[in-house]
Amino acid sequence: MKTEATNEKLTGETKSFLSFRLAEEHFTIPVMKIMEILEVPKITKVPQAPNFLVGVINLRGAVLPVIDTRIKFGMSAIEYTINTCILVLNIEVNDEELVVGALVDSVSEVFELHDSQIKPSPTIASRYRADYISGMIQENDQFMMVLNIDKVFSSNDLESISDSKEITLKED
Amino acid sequence: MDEMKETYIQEANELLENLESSLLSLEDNPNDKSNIEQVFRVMHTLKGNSSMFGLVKIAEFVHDLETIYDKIRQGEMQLSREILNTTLASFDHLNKIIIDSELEEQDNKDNHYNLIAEIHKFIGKGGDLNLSTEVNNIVEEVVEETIDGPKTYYIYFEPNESIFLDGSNPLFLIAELAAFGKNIVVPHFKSVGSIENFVPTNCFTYWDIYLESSVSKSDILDVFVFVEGSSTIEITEIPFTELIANASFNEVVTSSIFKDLKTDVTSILLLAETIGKKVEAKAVEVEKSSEVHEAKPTETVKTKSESKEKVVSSIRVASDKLDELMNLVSELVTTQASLTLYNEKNETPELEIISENIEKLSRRLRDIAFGMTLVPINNMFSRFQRLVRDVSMALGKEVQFVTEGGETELDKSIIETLTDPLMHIIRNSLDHGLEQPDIREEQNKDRKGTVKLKAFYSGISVYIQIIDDGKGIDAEIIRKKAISKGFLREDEVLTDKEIFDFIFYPGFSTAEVITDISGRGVGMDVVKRNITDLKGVVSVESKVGVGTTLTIKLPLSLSIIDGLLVEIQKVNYIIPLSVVNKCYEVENSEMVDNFNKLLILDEKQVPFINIRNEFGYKKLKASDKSQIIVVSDGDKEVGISVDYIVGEYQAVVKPIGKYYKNQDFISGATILGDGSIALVMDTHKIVDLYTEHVKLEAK
Repeated sequence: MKTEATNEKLTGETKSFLSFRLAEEHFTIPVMKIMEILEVPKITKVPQAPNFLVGVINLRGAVLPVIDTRIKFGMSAIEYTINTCILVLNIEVNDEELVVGALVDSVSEVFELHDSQIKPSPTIASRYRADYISGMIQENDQFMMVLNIDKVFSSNDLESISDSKEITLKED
Repeated sequence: MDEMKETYIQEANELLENLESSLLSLEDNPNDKSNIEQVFRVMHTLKGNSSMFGLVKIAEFVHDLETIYDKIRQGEMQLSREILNTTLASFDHLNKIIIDSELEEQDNKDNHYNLIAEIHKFIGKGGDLNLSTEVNNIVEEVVEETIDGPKTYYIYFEPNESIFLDGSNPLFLIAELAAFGKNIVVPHFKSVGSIENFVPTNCFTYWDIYLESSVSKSDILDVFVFVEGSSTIEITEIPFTELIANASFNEVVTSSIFKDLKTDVTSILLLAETIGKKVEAKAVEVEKSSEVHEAKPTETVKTKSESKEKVVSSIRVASDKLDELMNLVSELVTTQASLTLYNEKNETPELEIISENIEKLSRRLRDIAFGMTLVPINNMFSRFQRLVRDVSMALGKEVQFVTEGGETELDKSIIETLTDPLMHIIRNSLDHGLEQPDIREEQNKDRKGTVKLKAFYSGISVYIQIIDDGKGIDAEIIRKKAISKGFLREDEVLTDKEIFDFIFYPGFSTAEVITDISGRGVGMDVVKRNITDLKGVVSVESKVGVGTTLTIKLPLSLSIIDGLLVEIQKVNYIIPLSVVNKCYEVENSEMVDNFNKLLILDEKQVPFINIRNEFGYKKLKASDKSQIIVVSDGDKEVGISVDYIVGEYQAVVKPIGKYYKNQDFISGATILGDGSIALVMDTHKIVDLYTEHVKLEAK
């Protein structure tokens, strides 16, 4: 494979990626999918919704649903800090464009990656559903997962996660 | 060109829709003159439009079709069922070929020529003399129209004696004719008779007019349009030119001037032959195109006067422009809300006046903008006339189709999505609902079954009902079927209404015989899905032997509503004002979970829903007060408890997205003046949520 790397460089593409952190883990997604990054505004909670759906916000006159990415990934609910922010993502589900906000602990950096640098993800020993991960990259001895956000945030998955739907009495 | 073609297709579609409804009402009243006129006129316009766009095949086709109705209009032919059937088949064909104008598809091509043959049979049919002369006339006319150069006409014009009493002046008509080209006008005087019988107000003059012009015969006839009925007008075409300027011709025709002497047409023709120059018919191809062009001028003249009223009453606007307008109005309403909020904080009297005025204006603007996107449901109803006709014929059933409330307005896009489901429901009613005429008679019912399509407003919803007086649905049969299909356990007790809901289950069909028209078990579930997609609800009521009523309830175009802004658990909610009846304040201790969950308000017992319970919020202290908002849910009243009432609010409702599709008791969200979000509550769904909750608890 390594000998062909130069060849692939000629044929592949270089894309920009943004990395972010959820708890102690780092993930990355193509910048193309991100419309903007917001500070966390007032979130209006929708009653009876699954707990990863934290509510809706006003994005310049439009109503944007916001997802707690940590809960979606099976971690504990997000703790709001000064670094917490919302990635406004433009995802595609069944040929339909959907805009959704994703709460993350912090964003790290934007960097360029060539297609050849993205390695297939290991199919075993993964904590996450295989179709959520489109590849792995290695940077300074640290592995980062490249997310397939169209899959991660597709609303179709709601049914499969509906077991997490419980009446939240924790407020007040 | 593409854009023009689009315009053509759009207009043609409208014309065809128009045509169809006229044809169908013609079927009910075959002798209705105004309908025949209407059919003729629509065809005529369509012909004109088609030739204007160079769609020769369509124009020719419509021309032939139009000829039939022209004859019926003139009383030379009787409208028959065969003619109507052919016309409707032609109508279907036209619907296809306005897109495929060059008949590139083989099916269309075959169909085209078959139909033309059929139409020609009607035009040429009927051996009576009257008709055949008419055919000759048409042939003559066609020939005439194919010649493009100047022609000579001999016109004999004898006005009715009392023409002056009608206010007409024959000299004006002659002057009008003279304007067409070179001419000789030869007046003749009739004998006035004896002096005792002489009526000075009568007209005793008649004229011979020789005209050389390139106008068509029908143009000349148009001049006499107002006196045609009472006067004698004969127009003969002399196929020679350069007669008028000829001295010897002049001499001959003027020799009889002022005498009461009728001119012999054949002698004129003979004379013309010797001195005139023969007019030669042009090559075939040119003929055709000129014929098509010929139709245009008369066409525009006719439609102009007709469409004048229409131009005043409506204009065509692209729907995306309307959408944009709606968006702007929504933004205006939102901005106005911030202005009102700002004003509340900094009370400046001047600003308050301005703010209030803007609020009034934006409200009116909103109402007008909304009114524009709505169309009367009638447009859709008329489409079903045809369906009912065809299906009932195929089934051999006698059906009377009644529509009611066609003026009810709905969003245009909703109407489009509704067409298919409604079509299916009506088909079902015709096929499974109504009985055969003989069976109906045995049951002392009218031979003719009735299918009624009814639309009306109620609250924030529009209801559409399809009512038939057929055999009805037997709940017991549905129940058994549901059990056999495993949808229902045998020991479950359901109301009839719940049982009828099984009709909408996928794969549920009770028809014993699967017919072409319905009963394949697909359909009703699709109907339900389509209606649910529109945020509508569909339900069935039925009585065996009496009939079935299917009700579709749809939300009105809801993008901007007047609502009541309330607060629950520090979250703002909007309750549509249209369902709110009254507000009360009660102590929380009154809202106890007793058996019936009733509150006594104004000496009435009102069931209530403690919304904090439903939303899973903590109970408030018993000593605190809650606000009860009494809303109407169908014909019932329900109280809903909220923490505070903030006030009235004009809300621009925005979708909250697919992620919240399971939280359908929230129908949308709106942005308040301070930028925060309020959720719009669907109280009907809240009641559903509550009943479900209660059922779960009971289990």
